[in-house]
Amino acid sequence: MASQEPIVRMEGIHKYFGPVRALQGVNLRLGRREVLGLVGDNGAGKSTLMKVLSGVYQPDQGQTYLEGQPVRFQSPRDSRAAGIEMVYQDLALAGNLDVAANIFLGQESTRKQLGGIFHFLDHQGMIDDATRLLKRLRIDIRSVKYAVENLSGGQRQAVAIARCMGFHAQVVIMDEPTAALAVKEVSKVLDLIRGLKEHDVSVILISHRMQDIFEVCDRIMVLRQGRKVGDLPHAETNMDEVVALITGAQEMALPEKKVA
Amino acid sequence: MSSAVDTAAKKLSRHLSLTSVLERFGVALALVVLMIALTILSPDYFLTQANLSNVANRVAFIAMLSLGEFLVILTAGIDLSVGSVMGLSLIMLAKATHMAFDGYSAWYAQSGVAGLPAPDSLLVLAGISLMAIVVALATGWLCGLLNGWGFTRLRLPHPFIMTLGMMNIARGAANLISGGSPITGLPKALRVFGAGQIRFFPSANNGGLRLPIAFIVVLAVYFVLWVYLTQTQTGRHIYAIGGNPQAARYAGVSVNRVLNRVYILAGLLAAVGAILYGGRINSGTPKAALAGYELDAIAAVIIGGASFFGGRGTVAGTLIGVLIMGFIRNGLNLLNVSVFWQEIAIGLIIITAAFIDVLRRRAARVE
Repeated sequence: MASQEPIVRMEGIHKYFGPVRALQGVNLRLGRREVLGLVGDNGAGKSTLMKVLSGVYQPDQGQTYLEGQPVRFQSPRDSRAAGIEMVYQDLALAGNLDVAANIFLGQESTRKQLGGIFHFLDHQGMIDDATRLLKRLRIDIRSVKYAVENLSGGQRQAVAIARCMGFHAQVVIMDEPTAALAVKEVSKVLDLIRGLKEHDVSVILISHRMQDIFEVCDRIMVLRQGRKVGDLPHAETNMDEVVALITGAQEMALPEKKVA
Repeated sequence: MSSAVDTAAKKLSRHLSLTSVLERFGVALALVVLMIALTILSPDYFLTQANLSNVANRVAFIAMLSLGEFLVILTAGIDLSVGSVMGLSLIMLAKATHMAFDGYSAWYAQSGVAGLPAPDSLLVLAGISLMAIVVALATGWLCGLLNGWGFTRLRLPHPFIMTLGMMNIARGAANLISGGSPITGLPKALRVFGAGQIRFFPSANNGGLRLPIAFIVVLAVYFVLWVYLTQTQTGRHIYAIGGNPQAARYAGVSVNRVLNRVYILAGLLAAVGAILYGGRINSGTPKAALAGYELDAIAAVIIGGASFFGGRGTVAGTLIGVLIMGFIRNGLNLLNVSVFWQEIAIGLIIITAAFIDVLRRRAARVE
């Protein structure tokens, strides 16, 4: 896996906000079908880095490569077109719409009617596709016709993730997907993240919950004050080490070498 | 574990069916109960053809304003200007008619060209009417466009501000253009929208069913908007924006473009209301801009079950809300209840309708 060209490679990313150096030469690599944990204290630059990747911010220096090709995303729309989807922390779902409508929001299937003059929504087609998608991801929601506001937090998170998959994402970025969930729902969402591998999807997972990170991630990358201070395969590290890196109790355990 | 999930799901589906039945038919039920009550209280008159078609005719312009207001409220906005935009469109309609008629008459008298149709010929009046309708619609469109821009381009904090400004501007403009007094007399081709009737089944022994043309226009426009909201992408996006504008934005919906379209539609519908209103009273009066009809429209939308928080409500519910208000006013008139009590009754109904929405949201949250 590691020998292949990674699906995402970010080299020497710098991002400044006025005098604030949010990112200072960060490298990131994400292998195919890999789940990468991105951890760090508040303000360490995790979200900024992901916003650079998804095109919300443009880096002041550095280059992003997708499947080895240099890319420059001017907006989230660009990165989405390239197959990078972000699942937002605040759950970007419309509660008043049903599951199918949310999965297809912004990309509704339409059908020509009355000789092609009108494009009307293909309700049944979207219901069928959404049902199939949930089944494929083994998401347990009775009917895609339920309004999202009537679902549990975990189910909503699952719908948000399914939404990305509906758009044929290759890379899914998740920002704290388990933060707002009840304990017994967390494991379902983690199962879902693990299951995404089967669908050839790579995941970047931002989380404060170390146990989640260690449960699903193949590799853990630690940011501290805008720099990468650790990049550790799951098998070669433990929670204590990662926490020490996050807090700065341990300096630069090991840079790139191990992964490269 | 799985049985716990099952019972939870059952509870969920039961909850869903109960609220969805109430949501779908609750307002309709209220309308039916109201009509039965009025039939009992006013047995001789309420359920007659003359009375019902009178009510249908009177509520037609409010139905247009309410439909536009409904679209705006669906996006969690508010349009305080629909009443005065209707008034301004009405003045523009009447002014354009009179200017065109006077202009053509003068030219007809002077030019001496043979074979010109007389100013009061059907052809000329129909042409003038058509032109006046275009002027009225353009007025509504422009006001709606400006309302949308105020919110999406000037980024005024809430649609309340821009439309409050527009309300005052339209009131002032209506008075300026009309000189503060009614412009009376409209051609028959326009009056037909407010006063005409179409007779169905004329051979039936009770003389058949007579429907006011204004109400047929209402039904047709409501049908088109129903298709728009439920069967098109933009319609879906309007609901999504009302539910969670951030989600719509993340999903790639051009939120501002959709919002602009909604305010333009509200302006256009106000102009259609102006045509129905002008046809009925055969005049363009600036008073229409000052009457506060926007508040009636908001009331009808809320009574019709739309949520003030956005994202919830139906076209049919809005029409029912309009009819409930119309029948309450009509019924209390038939029962010789003072107009002042009518206002109190309508106020109480608005509060009740909004409270039902609050209860429903609270129930959803508990679940």
